Amino acid sequence: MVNSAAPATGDFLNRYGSEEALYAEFTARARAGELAVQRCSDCSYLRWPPARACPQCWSGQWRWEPVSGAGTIWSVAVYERKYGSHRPVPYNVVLVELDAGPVMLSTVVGTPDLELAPGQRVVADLAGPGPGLAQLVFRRERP
Amino acid sequence: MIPDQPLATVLGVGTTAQGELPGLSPDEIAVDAALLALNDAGIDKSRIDGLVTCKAYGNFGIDTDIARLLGLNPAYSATLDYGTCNFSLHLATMAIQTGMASCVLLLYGTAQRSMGHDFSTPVATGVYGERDYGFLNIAGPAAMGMRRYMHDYGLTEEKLAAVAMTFRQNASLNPLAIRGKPMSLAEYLAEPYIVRPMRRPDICMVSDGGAGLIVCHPDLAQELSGRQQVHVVAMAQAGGQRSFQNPNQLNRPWIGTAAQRLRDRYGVTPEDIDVLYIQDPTSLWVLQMLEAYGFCGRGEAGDFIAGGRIGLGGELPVNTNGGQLAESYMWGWLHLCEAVRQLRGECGQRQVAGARVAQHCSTKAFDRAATSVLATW
Repeated sequence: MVNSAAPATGDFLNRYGSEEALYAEFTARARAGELAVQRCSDCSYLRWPPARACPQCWSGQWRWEPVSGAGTIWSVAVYERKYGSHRPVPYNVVLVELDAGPVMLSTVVGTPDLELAPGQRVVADLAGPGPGLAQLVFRRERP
Repeated sequence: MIPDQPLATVLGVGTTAQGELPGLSPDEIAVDAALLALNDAGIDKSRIDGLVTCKAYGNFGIDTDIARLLGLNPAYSATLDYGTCNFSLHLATMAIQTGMASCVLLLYGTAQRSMGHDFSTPVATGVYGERDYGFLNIAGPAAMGMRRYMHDYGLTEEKLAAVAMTFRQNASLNPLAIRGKPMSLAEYLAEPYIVRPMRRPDICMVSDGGAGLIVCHPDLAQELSGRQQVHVVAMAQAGGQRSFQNPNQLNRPWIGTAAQRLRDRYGVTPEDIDVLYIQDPTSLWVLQMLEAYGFCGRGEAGDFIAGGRIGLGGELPVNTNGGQLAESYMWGWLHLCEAVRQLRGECGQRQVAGARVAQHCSTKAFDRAATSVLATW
């Protein structure tokens, strides 16, 4: 559930106690069906991952901005060895370049791992089964 | 062109047995390496006034602990959180250049295999949800970078095989090496994938071992030793800590700025290099460094490594020791020890005839890059 009391803009020293709170807000918004990332109020840089200050200009002023979940797979890795992950092998991990700009780590559901390839169009699905950020997954766009 | 003013001189190198060293702590292994390096340098420990150590798995490798074991109160000492060898060498060289120390002992010891380190952690900060998505171990990001490289440039798995096959071949002539058996293309292709498209021979092993170097002021080296001297003549680093906020991060075009610094600051270009060392946690590094440092053009590494060009006797021998894919996983330290031994002409069957200039390229995961040029004359 979106925390409606959370401010739409923030001052990184005071508004949130921790970076973890920003992640929690991101996932709460995702659960409510909104893919939102932080936009710097000073230099307009759209940032991912969550951070209290802008990595571009160091401003602490920012707002959540809903963005389109459409993007392109930059690349994909298919794990055949289980390195202590909670996920059963084989599984895929992708890096998605959102059309909006930010690059997100994720996984693609609904397509066999070995059919995934760089350049494929995907769209965010905000109801993934994973823990933490992994409730954000992607699906291939229908042609 | 190779600078004729050395920044520092490598007086000695030491390498312990590699593989499994049960019963020894990482710090004890580092002390073993110190003794070997001291013997090789032919000096007494009283000459050592600087110590640079490298943090090892399990919170070992701290300079204060190791200095105590060595019985040293060095004028200068430091521990690098990621002392993959170039970074340690650069710090020692800076200490020498500023006069903070005149003779620095550099050490790394690890018992990560005996201690059961499974490397099931994200390689970077973890802020992208790496644990949530299972993006663990260096093999994951390396595989992702390799897949993109294949997509961009048409590299095939058959061509990629040349990296691991070459290093296995080199390792077969290196008594220190753990994977010292040559590997055919068919054998490579029969190996299981770890993270597609990377197979087991593309990923470095987990091993115990130690290595040490003694690096001193060039004037002091002349005074202390009459042997063939190997100098540090150029060094540079580059940063990519902004991670996926950098374009094309897993293929790291920013490493090219280190090559640019070598050229601008020291006049060193690829044509100067006789033998090349690339720290190789995975085979991807070899392709990336060959291109970033200008040994071939962007996207050309797959063709460049074909036909024996990077093998012993080739135009540009790479990792004559076998590297981390075949010798041992020592964060690039063994690459540097091998470079010194090659320039001294001590490498027997795997000696590159007439090698006078060596370059070592390494990284800290996907975050930083460093390179050093060693020369003898």
